[in-house]
Amino acid sequence: MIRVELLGRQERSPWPKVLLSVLVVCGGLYGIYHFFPALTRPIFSASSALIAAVQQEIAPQREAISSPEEAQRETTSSSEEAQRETTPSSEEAISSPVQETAPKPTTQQEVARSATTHREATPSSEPETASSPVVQPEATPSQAPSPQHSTACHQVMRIDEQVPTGIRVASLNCNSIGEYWLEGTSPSYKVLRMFRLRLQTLPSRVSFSTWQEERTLRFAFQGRFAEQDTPPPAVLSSDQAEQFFGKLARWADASGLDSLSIEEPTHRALSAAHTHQRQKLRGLGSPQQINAFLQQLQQAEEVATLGEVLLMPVTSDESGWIQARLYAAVDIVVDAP
Amino acid sequence: MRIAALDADRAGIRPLVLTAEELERPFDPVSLGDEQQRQELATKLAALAATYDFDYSTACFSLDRRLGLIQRRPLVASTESENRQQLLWEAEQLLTEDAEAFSCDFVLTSQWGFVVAARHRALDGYRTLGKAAAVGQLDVDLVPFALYNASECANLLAKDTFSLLLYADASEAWLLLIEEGELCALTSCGWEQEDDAPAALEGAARKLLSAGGNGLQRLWGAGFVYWSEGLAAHLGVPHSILDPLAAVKPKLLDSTPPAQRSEYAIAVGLAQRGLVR
Repeated sequence: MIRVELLGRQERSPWPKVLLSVLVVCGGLYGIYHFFPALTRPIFSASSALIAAVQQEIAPQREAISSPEEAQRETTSSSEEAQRETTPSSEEAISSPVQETAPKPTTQQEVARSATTHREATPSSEPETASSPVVQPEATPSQAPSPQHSTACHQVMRIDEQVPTGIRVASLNCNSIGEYWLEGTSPSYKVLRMFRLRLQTLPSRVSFSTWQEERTLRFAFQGRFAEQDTPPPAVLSSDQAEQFFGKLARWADASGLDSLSIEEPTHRALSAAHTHQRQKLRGLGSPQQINAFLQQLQQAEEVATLGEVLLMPVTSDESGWIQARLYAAVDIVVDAP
Repeated sequence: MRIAALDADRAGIRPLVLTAEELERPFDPVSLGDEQQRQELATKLAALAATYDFDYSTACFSLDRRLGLIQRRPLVASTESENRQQLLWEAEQLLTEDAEAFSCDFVLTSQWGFVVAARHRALDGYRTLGKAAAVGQLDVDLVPFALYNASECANLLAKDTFSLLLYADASEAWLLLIEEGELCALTSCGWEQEDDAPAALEGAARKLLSAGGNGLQRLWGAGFVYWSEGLAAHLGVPHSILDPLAAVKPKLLDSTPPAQRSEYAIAVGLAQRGLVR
């Protein structure tokens, strides 16, 4: 069953009940202890002895953590835990969407009443309406990030340079195995055909989907670049990984990307010896700013792979997009600790 | 306006009421936003409950087609929480105004993420109506998901690799592409009186199929089934009636033919949501 919760989560959390039950039990025990100490003394004295024994057992282990590295690791893990605690869960995030300080994308509205198919990517501007319910990007989802060194995303991002005048890109999405999805609108079939021909000259398989909506000609392309026989990326030490992600943030900043948001890297074990680390970055920039950042990143392709990229133009004119939202996931392989 | 009231007991799910009521004014965002019209709707709902002897202890309304945004996005992350986080970010980029004005949720299948959004202000209209109609536990859902749920609860899915669900009303239709029982893509279309409805339906269907429905095996039609029969003939695939009560024990059903019951597919899907927790 598909169940979306737009009026808010309706299931009540079981924790208040559990907490109340625990409080009642504790209160009851306290009452019994207070009024009938003879009955409960054996229980409490036994548990006190048990706690003392456990504490004695733990104490030497704590003392054994003495090297600076281990102390640092412990500090890091506790700070990570603290961070996890402060990070809202996905459900919390959904119920109260993140408010970004960045300017919101400008409107690309389509009035959605016609005899032809509806497909709105943006909500209507009517005060109480959201938009008509429908969609269709395309194709299969990405696979797990490949540990192979891959330049596929860089190849895909060059598609943007092939976009003819008049075509408006709504989103360009790709991953490291070379799959990409491109959506947008075209002023005419002729321009769209030209774009298709250009895409067909690239070393990629492409499937096309076009349809008319009101007077807007929409398209959704799905493609995949041929996999290249590339060597695996160089493996970094933990320190190098930290330094690299530091550089990544500086490159993004130096390229002029606005509203930068960089998450803590995620870790995934690849083998006993290696882990895969991913740094997610989000920002807003012009074509020049985004290209500058991606080019900088490409220079580090021996150690880092652009795992996923999503480009969503927010302002465009006849000659193309002027400003876009960028999501990039950068992958590296690191020695396991 | 179509209403389905269901009940569940040891014997299973059984329909209490399937009824269609003509309204003087359409049940749309305008009527929800106007206090007088909303009150009229609430009075109508109360009268129906009294006539057919059921209550609104749990009730689910379908959102007007213009009030809900559904966007299909490829899943790019490896875990559900990461995908939800990513979809939330994408939703914020898709929503042209302040994202906080919208209530968002996500449907994740094995291949796709569907971003669903509706304005809080629009949802407030349903909340107010629910209060006026003495609804105990109010819920709202989107038509395509209600249609999917009705089909799933009727055990109609998963038999074919690719099937198309179509619910066609007098002037609008919803189409869902299902791959081995899982939602793959969806779309909707509308037409005015002078428009060519079959052409609109066929255009919408072809668009869905171009999204990956090679080898369509069946078209399940609901609502005004002559539309779906015509479309199935055009597409050259077998047509079956989407009877939302196909899984109900026959002795619990009256003599209403399946084609007529299919008109209540969405209403039944909404009611199922209140029964399946």
